[in-house]
Amino acid sequence: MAKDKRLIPQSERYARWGYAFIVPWVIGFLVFTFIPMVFSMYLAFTDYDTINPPKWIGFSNFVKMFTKPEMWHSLWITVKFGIMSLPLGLVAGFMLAYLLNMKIPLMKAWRTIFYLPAMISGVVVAMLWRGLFDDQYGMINFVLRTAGLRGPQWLLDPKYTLYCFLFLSVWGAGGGMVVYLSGLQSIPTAFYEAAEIDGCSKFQQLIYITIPQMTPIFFFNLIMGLIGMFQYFAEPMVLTKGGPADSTMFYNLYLYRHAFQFRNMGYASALAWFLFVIVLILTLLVFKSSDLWVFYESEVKK
Amino acid sequence: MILVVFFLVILNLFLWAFAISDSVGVMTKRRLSRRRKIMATIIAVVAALSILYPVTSMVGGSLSSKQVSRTVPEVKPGNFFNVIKVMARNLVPIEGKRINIKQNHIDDAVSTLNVKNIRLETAPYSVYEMEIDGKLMHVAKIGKAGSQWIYLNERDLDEVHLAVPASEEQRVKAVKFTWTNYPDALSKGDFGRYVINSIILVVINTIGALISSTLVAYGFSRFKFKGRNWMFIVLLSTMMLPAQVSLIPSFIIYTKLGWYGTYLPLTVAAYFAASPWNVFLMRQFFMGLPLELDEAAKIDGCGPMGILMKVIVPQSTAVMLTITLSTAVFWWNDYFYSLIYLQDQKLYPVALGLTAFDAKYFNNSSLKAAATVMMLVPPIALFFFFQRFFIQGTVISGVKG
Repeated sequence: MAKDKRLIPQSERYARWGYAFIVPWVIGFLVFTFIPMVFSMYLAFTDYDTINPPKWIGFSNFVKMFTKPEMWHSLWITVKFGIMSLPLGLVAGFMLAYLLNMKIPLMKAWRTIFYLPAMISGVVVAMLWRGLFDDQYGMINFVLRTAGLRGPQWLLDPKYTLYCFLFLSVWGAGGGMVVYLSGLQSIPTAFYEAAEIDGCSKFQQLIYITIPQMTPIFFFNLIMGLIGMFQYFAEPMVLTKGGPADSTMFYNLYLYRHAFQFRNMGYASALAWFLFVIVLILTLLVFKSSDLWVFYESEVKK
Repeated sequence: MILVVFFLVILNLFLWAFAISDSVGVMTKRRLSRRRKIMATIIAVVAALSILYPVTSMVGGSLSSKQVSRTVPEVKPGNFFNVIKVMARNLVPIEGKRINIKQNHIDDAVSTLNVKNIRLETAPYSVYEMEIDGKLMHVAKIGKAGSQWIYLNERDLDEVHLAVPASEEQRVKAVKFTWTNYPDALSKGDFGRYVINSIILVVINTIGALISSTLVAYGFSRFKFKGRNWMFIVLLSTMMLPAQVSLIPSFIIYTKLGWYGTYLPLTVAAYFAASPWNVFLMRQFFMGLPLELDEAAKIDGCGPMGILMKVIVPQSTAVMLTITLSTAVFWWNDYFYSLIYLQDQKLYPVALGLTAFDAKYFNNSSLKAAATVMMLVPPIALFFFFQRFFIQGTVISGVKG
């Protein structure tokens, strides 16, 4: 409501200009989002291989999706990987942000290095790491050998493939750092001053001030990260293609396979809609939790 | 397991540093904070080194040339079999799929290879998926010759594939320093073309994103019209929409339009404000610009378009740079969309091109390393010089979004 006051009263003529300016988005929304969504809804109830016309098959795609184990398998892989990697990435990203918040010299260089994994393409990330996973010449197994352990065949043994991606995600934890850093910088210094007067150590300040103040951002990033898990594609595609034995068949990869390799467009649309429902639930979770961070924002920004 | 241990070590290091810096309570506050800073710097160095390790090893690989000796199976002259050597690493088994191949065909295929010690598998043969020159094909494993597996192409049984197990692929004789891998990678195997393609995509998309998001954000921030608020809410809600929902129908529509295999599916949407993040970012920025200047321009006789061009745009170089950079980096790195919409290798942008390059030069790791380094340097360099703008974009979309 405060926003409306900022606007100059515009005549009817200017309202028309307003419509004119947003026309590109309206067209874009209709053509690239809305119509495809409706079409996708229809496709989910059909059998369509892009050559023959779509055939209406009712709920069979959904029945197939929920009764066959493959979809549940890839959903489980995705969620399992999220549960393993997101907390690790969160702690690692927060640590990096905490480090940078201490105003150490060469800030610009550190920030570039820590943020580097988030800037490069997933394909490059996969290429960088593939060599390190080699069971004979790879760095990881070299370290393990030196420590007297026998390293596994990382990318070939279905028991270990998912852990390879864990390396990648912890390595890329700097991506969340920037948001944490801005969160850290917006915690009022008065809190720390008060704590210092009360004789709190820096460690106590971290536990009792910084982390509680940061929880909303943590939570938000966790949910966003989980949504991001469902878009995870380039790294598994380049490193393992979902194999061996489907051990890295992430949801998006599974969807891609059905849509663009097997051309099961109907089934893939059903998969996409199920994905949409999951993401919607996660998003609602963020908004439900917004009480937490509305309080936080009003508290911080005067 | 190992990772957890590794992680705990880092965690310990971190806490330990604070414990030390805190336990020395007698120190004056200034010295204490100096000590903490030194500790923090040390940890930062350790973290930076571990993040940089894969990159530096790649750069090192790209600057060296390895002389390798390989056991290459000889092919009898004058036969119709096409023998292709691939690396076992690129093969992915297809679960539960087995095929039968006629025995005489297998004998033919095996006789093509002038190698001894052939051990054949028994039918039905298990099927693997592998990528050759960027194309996925299914091959059946029929046996082993020495240390190499023999595969037959499922579609075209006249194609024999020999797969060398990854570890025995090459024996490194000597490593030499050289920078020639970079020009070689650019001139060989189309990598130079991939770079140019990517630049084209980046430029077209950036221009589109800038123009369309400026117009739309201007419309949303400076004009009052019916339905503006709910339209903006719709725009915001599309931010959370997973791309997959509209992906499949879009693909079908583009294919029906005959756009499959061209840059059109990758670029046209940018001109219609496809990224709600950009519009949101821009609108937030415009809302913060003083209205007094707009009014002054209006008194001077500027129309809405004049105000946009003469007042708003000159003040918004910062946000425009943010959008330019994020769009450019996104399209430079794009893999998914180009994988779906492009077929002709000559049109591949770098990310997709890199995978094709990787399959083609699977046995020249230095050349691949040079290509990888060339792909990763531009975004990092951009980030180093324009950090502020990148971070603004990330923080606004991350915290306020």
